[in-house]
Amino acid sequence: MKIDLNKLMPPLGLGYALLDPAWQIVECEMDVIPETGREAITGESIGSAFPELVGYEPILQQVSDGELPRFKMENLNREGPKGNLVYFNLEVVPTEKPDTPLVVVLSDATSLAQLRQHIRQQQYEMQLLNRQKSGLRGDSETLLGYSEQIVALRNLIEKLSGIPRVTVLIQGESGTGKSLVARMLHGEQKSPFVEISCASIPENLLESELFGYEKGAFTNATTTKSGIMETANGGTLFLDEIGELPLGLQAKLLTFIETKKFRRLGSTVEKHVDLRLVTATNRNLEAMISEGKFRQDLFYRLNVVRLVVPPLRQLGEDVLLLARHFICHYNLEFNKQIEDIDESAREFLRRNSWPGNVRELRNTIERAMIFCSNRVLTAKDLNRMQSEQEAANTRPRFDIPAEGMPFAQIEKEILINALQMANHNQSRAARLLHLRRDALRYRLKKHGLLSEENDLQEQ
Amino acid sequence: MQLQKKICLLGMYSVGKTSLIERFVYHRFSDHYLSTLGAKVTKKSLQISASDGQQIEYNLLIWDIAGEETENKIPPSYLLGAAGAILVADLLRPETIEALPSVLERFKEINPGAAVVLAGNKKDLLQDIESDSKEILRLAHQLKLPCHLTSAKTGCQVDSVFSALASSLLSRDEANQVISPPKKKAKTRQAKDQKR
Ligand SMILES: Nc1nc2c(ncn2[C@@H]2O[C@H](COP(=O)(O)OP(=O)(O)OP(=O)(O)O)[C@@H](O)[C@H]2O)c(=O)[nH]1
Ligand SMILES: [Mg+2]
Repeated sequence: MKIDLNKLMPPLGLGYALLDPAWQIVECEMDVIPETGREAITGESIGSAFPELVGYEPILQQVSDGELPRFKMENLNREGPKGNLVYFNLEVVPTEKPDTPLVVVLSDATSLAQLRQHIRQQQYEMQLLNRQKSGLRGDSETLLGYSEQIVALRNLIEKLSGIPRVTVLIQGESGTGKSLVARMLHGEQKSPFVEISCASIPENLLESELFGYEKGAFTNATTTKSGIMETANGGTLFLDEIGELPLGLQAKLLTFIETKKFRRLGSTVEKHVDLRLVTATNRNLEAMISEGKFRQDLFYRLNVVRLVVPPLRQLGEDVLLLARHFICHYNLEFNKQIEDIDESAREFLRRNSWPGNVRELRNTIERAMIFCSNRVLTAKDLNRMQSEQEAANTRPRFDIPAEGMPFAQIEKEILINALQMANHNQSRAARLLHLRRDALRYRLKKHGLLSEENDLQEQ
Repeated sequence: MQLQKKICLLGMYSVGKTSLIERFVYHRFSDHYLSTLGAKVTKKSLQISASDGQQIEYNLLIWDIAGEETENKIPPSYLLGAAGAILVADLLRPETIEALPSVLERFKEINPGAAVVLAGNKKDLLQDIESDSKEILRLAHQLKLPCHLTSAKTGCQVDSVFSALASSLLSRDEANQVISPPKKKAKTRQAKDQKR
């Protein structure tokens, strides 16, 4: 019986090439893989239509001679017309006809391959990130990125962390990860790492926090307390926002650096501690010196080694790597399965100037992921959050009518709003309002909003 | 004289196999990582002088094969008929260097006479080239294979590693007298196919 391959194969979604004993194509139909079809011409040798089969001539012979039942290769890639990848499977099958002993059968494998590629990509990226994270030491966090600046910074930190007592000044815009750098410098040592921000505490409190005090040193000093200098003994003391340190304390800090000694408030006993001092600022200390707001002698003492943490907008493609990292992170936290970011989102990430740096990127991804119900984040997901926030920043959130309105009503409206935004998912709505889920449910119940629908949707 | 040769790039995931081919063939590089699934064949020809001064043109069929992991083994069918291989490691990931001996073993099982060279890639990321390249150079010495420190990003040594493989192919072809002026007409179908 003569089988007409041309009638049989294409309807099955298969392409084929019938070969003569010299492995030249006698007949073919390869539209199933358009990119293959273009090159395959009747009369050509199989090797020129299929570079994938060059070197396989002995195998073809074995199949033709019946030594091998058939021969298959899966997931061969070709570049499609739009630069996309097309995957196909290729199988060499004997025909038992002396004139045309072999047929090469082709099938498109793109959809399944794309899925498998995606899974593998995620798996490898996770492994690489984990590796990067643990690369320096233990499981500690690390600066992620492959840009020259980040690689150089990481290498420098690695070197400095091996020199225990050297004083380091970290400079960088806010949100760039200065305190992460400080922790990386400290490393995974068992010794203490103590961190305090000079901007967050009033001057007199900061002094007692730093140096500690004796009972009776001042009105409220009812007990003796050691300061964080002592706590950090043997380890690292990280003073964030050092530019905000008041001048009085600057002098005291300078004395400490020079002598390694200090006294608790209200004490005459000198204490000696041995620690690594790391400071950080987003201010231009040199400018502050010329304005008389920062002591030059202290600056020289702090600026033994200076590390500059670059702003996100200078890190090129690292913004994509970081975005993917945060996606992995929030996938776990929110139990989501967002797989990737699309081209529009990549463009958005690259173009944004990120004044708030990595912190802003992280928040943007977090917000986008709370609302995204697809598997891929788009520019719209990222952007909507920003424009909503901008809008929210420029207009008052609630208009209270001149005659006033009951607070309960505002509360109810907010709850309804949050439920709508969260697609009636109570946990998500609770997160939006910074409430625990049971606290949200209590309020929903109070306003009669705990309908069956809300409860059902929750399951 | 023209000869067709299949060569494979092998090594763990993300060491830069695809990037080395992109650099060698298209002179481009991307920071974006798209992990390869399956295999992709790219053609490129390379000229080399034989010892008798004859110009040989190798038409290379370069197989970019997905990085091998324990759960994703390379199907042996991809390796059949290869005349050579470049085994690639990422200089910053020691485990990718450690993985090479077993990759070599499996490749040689299928292609015992094939030429092999090593590439320690991502040289541009190294801070201390001497200490970071020690491992792969030691391995190359132990396996008696040529080794190049490459960067697909800067292009450094990329042409050299392919040329090194081509000259290994050439010495094999000379030893097997594939290249010396043909006395008899080649008879096998394979040789006929290769000449085109
Ligand atoms: N800095 C630097 N990065 C590189 C170099 N070569 C590759 N890369 C990057 O490393 C990542 C992986 O490169 P690929 O070429 O895709 O690696 P592969 O070996 O083909 O990986 P699989 O296909 O998964 O097996 C990409 O992000 C590349 O941009 C290099 O020489 N220097
Ligand atoms: Mg690849």
